[in-house]
Amino acid sequence: MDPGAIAFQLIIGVATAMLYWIVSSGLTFTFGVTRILNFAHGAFYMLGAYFTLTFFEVTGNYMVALLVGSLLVGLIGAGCERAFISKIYHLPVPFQLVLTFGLILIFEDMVRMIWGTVPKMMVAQFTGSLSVFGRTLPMFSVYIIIAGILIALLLYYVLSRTYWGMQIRAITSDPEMAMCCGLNPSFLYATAFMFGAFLAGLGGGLTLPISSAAPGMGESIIIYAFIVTVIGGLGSIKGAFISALIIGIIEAFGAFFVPWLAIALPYIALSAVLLLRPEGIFGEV
Amino acid sequence: MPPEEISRRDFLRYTAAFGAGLLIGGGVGYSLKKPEVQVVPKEAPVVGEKKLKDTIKIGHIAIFSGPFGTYGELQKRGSQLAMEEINAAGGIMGSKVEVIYRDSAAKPAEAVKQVRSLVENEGCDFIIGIDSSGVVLGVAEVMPEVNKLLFVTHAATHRLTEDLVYKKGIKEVFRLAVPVYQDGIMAAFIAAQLPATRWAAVHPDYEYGYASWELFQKTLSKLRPDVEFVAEAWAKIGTTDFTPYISSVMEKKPDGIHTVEWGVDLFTFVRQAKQMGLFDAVKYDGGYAWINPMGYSIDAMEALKTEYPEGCWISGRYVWPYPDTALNRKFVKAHLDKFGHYPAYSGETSYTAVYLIKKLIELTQTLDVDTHIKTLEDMVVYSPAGARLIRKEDHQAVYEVPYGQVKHDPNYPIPVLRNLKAMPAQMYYKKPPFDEVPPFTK
Amino acid sequence: MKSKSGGSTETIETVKRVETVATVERTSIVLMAVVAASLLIPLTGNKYALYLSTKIWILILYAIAFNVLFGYSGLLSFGHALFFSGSAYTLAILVARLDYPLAVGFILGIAAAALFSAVVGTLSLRHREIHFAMVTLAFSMLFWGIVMKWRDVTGGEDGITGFPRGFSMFWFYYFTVLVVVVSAYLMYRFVKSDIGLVLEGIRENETRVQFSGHSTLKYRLYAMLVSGTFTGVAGVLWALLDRTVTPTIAHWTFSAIPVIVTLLGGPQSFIGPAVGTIVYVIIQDLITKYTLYWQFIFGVAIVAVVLFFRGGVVGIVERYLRGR
Repeated sequence: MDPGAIAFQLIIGVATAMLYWIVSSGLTFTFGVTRILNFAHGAFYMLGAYFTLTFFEVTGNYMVALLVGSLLVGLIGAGCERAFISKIYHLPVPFQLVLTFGLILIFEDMVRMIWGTVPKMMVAQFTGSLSVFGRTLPMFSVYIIIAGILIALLLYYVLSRTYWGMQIRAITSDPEMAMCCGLNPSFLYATAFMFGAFLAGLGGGLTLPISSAAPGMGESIIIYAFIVTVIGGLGSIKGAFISALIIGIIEAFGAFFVPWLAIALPYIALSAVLLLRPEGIFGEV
Repeated sequence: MPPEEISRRDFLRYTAAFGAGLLIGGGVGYSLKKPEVQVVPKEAPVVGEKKLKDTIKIGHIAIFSGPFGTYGELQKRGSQLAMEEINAAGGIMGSKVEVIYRDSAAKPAEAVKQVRSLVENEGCDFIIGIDSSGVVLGVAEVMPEVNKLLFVTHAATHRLTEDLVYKKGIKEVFRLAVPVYQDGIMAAFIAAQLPATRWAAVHPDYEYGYASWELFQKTLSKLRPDVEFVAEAWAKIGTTDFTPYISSVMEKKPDGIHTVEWGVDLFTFVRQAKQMGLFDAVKYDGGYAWINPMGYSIDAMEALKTEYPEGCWISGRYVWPYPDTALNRKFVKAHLDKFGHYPAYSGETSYTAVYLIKKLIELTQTLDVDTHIKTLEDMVVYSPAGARLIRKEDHQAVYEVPYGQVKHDPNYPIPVLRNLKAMPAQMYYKKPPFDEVPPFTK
Repeated sequence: MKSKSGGSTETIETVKRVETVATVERTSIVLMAVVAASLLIPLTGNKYALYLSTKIWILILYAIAFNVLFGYSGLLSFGHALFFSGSAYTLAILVARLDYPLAVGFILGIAAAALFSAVVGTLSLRHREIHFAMVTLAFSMLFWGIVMKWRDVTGGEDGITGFPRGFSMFWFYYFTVLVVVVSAYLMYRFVKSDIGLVLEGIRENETRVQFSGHSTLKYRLYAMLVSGTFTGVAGVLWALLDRTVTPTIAHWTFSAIPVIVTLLGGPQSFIGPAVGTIVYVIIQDLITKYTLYWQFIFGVAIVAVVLFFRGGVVGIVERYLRGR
C-alpha cells in the first residue's frame, strides 16, 4: 500500500472529522452547561445552511452570509431556550429528548413551507485544488480543516480567557455554588444555547458549498453528532474534538479498506465505546 | 392490589359495558359502512356514449417529503397535465378524470396504507406512481388484494417485473418506465464504445446501485473482454461528503466511471468529483468516460446546470429531446408552458400512464381488471417517449431511451444532449426467462 | 453531582395519579366497551378501516410493551426497533426464504425478540438514562446496518416481500385483537405483580431498593425481557399484516414511535400508550389527507404535551373527571 495514499486518505478523514467536530462542539457544549441533549441541534444545523444560502443570495458574499446566518441561528437558539428549554430543566430526561425532537419536526416543516422541498445548492466556493502527495485535494477540504481548527481555538479562548467563559465554566462545574456567587443562570443558559446553536448553524453554512440545503439534513447529521459527543464524553469539548477525529478517520479508511462495512462503522465504534468505557473518552463517570 | 375476585355486581357491570360497547360500535360501524356501489352495466354499451361512472379516479403515490421530495412534484406535473388535457377534451367517454396524490414518504408501509386508503376510501380505480424500488415491491404484493391495476412510473428494480410479475404471477402490475436495464446494460453498450479499459464505480449503497453495477459488469465483460473493473465505492443515501469514496476510487487509477447516483446525492457527488479531479482522470478525446444513467434527470440538470462537465454520458428513463415526434414536441411544449420546466422522465411516464388508462377504458368499455390485463398485454402505446410495447410475460413497457453527451447551450436554461445514441430496446432489455444478460447469444 | 436533571424534581411518579380501586374499575369498563366496539369493525365492510384498525392494535401492543420498560421501570430505550424488526425479519426469513410454516416463523420470531432482549439487556442495563438510551440505539442501528448489507439473507433495502398471511384480512383482525389483548393482560399482570412493584420502586429510588436487598439489575432484566418479547409479538403481527419486511422497521426513527405515542397518551397509566397510539394513527391519517405538513402539527402537539400536558391524553381526561 502506497504511503502517499494512506497519508492522503488521512487528510480526507481529518476534513470529514472537522465537519463532525464543528457540529458536535455545539451539542456537547450545551449539554455540558445545561445537561440537555438537544435533538433540535440538527435543526439549527439545517437553519444555518438555509440562512447562509438566503443571505448569500442577498449580499453575494459567502463569508458575510455565513456569519450573519449563524448569528441568526444563535438568536433562534437563545429564543428556544427561553421559550421551551428553560421550562423543562427539572423534567426527566425522556421528556427533554422528546421535546427537542418535537422542535426538530416543527423546524423541518417550517423550512419546507418557506423554502420548499427541493434541495437548494449555492454557487461553489473555494473551488481550487491543491496537489498533495501527488493527489488532488479540494481547496474546500483545506478550508474546512482550517475552520475546524479556528473553532477549536475560539472555544478554547472563549472558555478560558473571557469573563463569560469563566462564568460558564463555573456554572457547569457547580451550579449551586455559582449561583451563590451571584451568577445569573438564566442568562448563562440562554447564552450557552445561543453559542451552541451558533456553532451548529456555522456547521450547516460551512457544508452548504459542497452539498446543498435540504429539509432532511438535520436528521442525518444529528445521529453523527450524538455518536461523536457520546464517544468523546458528554459535555467534554476536548472529547468531542478527539472523537470527531476518530470517527472521521475511521470513515475515511473504512471507505478505503472495507467499503461494504462503511455504513455500520460509526455504530460499531459507538457500541465498542459504550461497552468498554460508557462515559466516553473524556467523560466523567 | 386490584380485587382478585369479581363480585356479581361487577360482573353485571362488565357485561353491561360490553353490551353497550357492542351497541355503540354497531352504530359507529354502520355509519362507516360503504355506500352501495353502483353496478356497472355490462351489456353492450353504445360506443363512446355511455359513461361508466361520473368520475374515474386515479390514485398517484410518489415521494413528496424528505430528501427526495422533489420526485413527487416531478411526477405530479405529468399526471396533472394529462388530467387537465383529458378533462378539457371531454374526459374519458364522458367521465371526468380525477387524480388524487399521496405521499409514500419513501416508506413501504406508508405506501401500502395509501394504496388501501385510495382504493377503499376514495374509490380509486387505478393506482399509478411509486418512485422507490424498495417501496414498489411491497406495494405490488397488495394489488391482488385490492384488485386494481398498478402502473409503475419510476421505480426501476428488475425484481418487480422479473420476479413478481413473471415468476410469481402478480398480473395487476405494469411498469411504464424503463427499468435498471437502462442503468446497467445500456450503459455497458455505451461503455463498450469508449476507449476506457479500467472501470470504477461510485454507487448509492442500496439495491439499485448493486443491481445496476452487476448488470453493467456482466454486459461489458461480454462486449469487451479486455476491460477490468478496478474499484467500487458505496456511498450511503444522504452522503454529503463523498471525498473519502472519491479518493479511494482514484487510487486505483480508473479511466472510466459508472455511477448511478441520482437526486440530491448526485449534485454533491458531481461537485466534489470535479474538485478532486475525478473527471480529469477519465477524459478522452471525445469527452469523458463518465456514465451516469440518471444524469439527465431534470432536477439534476436544473441544480447543476453548467457545473456538469460537457462530454459526460448521461441518460434517463425518458429524455425530452427524444424522439423527435410531433407527439413528443407537443407534450414538451405543453409542459413547458404550464410549469416553466422541461418534463422530467417520471413526468412523462405519469402523463403516459393517465393517457393509457383513458385508452384502456375506451377500448374495453369496462372497468373490469381481468379484461384490462388481457388488453394491455402485447399492446403498443404511442407516447411522447415513443412507441412502447407492453410485454406480455412481465408487463414491462419496452421502448428505447438514448444516452447522450452533456452540452452547455446558452439558448436553453439547462444543458442539452448531443451525440444521442439509441439502440433498439429488444437488444438491451433482458427477456424471459431472464437468465441471460445481453448481448443475447441464444 | 452537578447535574440538574439527573436528579429530577419531577418524576413520572409525580405525574402519576394514585390508581385507586375505583379508577381501575372505571378504566376496565371503558376498556371493555372499546374492545367490544372495535370487534365490530370487520363487519362494517369498510376494508380500509379494518386495515387501519389492525395496524392500530399492533402499534398499541408495541407501545404498551415499550411502556413496561419506560413508564414502569423508568428506562428510556431508543432501540426497541431491534426487537420489533428482529422478530419480523426472523419470521420473514424462515417463511419466505427457508419455507418453514407460518406458525413456526411466528413462534421463532418471538423467541428471537426474547433472545435479543436478553442479550441487549445484559449488556446495557448497567447504564443509566442517556447512556442506556445510547446503547440501545447503538445496538439497534447495528442490526439495521446488518439488515441493510446482508442482502442475500435480508433482501437489503428492498426487504422481503410476499410471504403468506395465513388468514384473510377479516380473520387476521380478530387474531390480532386476541393476541394483543392476551399480551396486554399478561403484561398488566406483570406490572402489578411483586416484580412490578419492585420495578416501580427502582424507578423512584434505586438506592433505597438496593438497601432492601434486591438486585436492581436482575429486576431490570425481567422488565427488559417482558418488554422486548412482547415487542417481538407486535413485530411478527406487523410482518404478517403487510406481508413485507423492510429495514425501515429497524431504523431508530421507528424506535421513536412508541416514545412519542406513550408520551402523547400518558406514560403513567397502563392504557396511556394505547390511547396515544390511537390518537397518533388517526390524526396522522387524517392530516396527511389534507396537508403535507403533518410533521409540523405533530411537533407542536409534542411540545404542548411536554410543556403543559405531561400526563398525556389520559392525564387530561383524568384531570377533567377529577375536577367535576
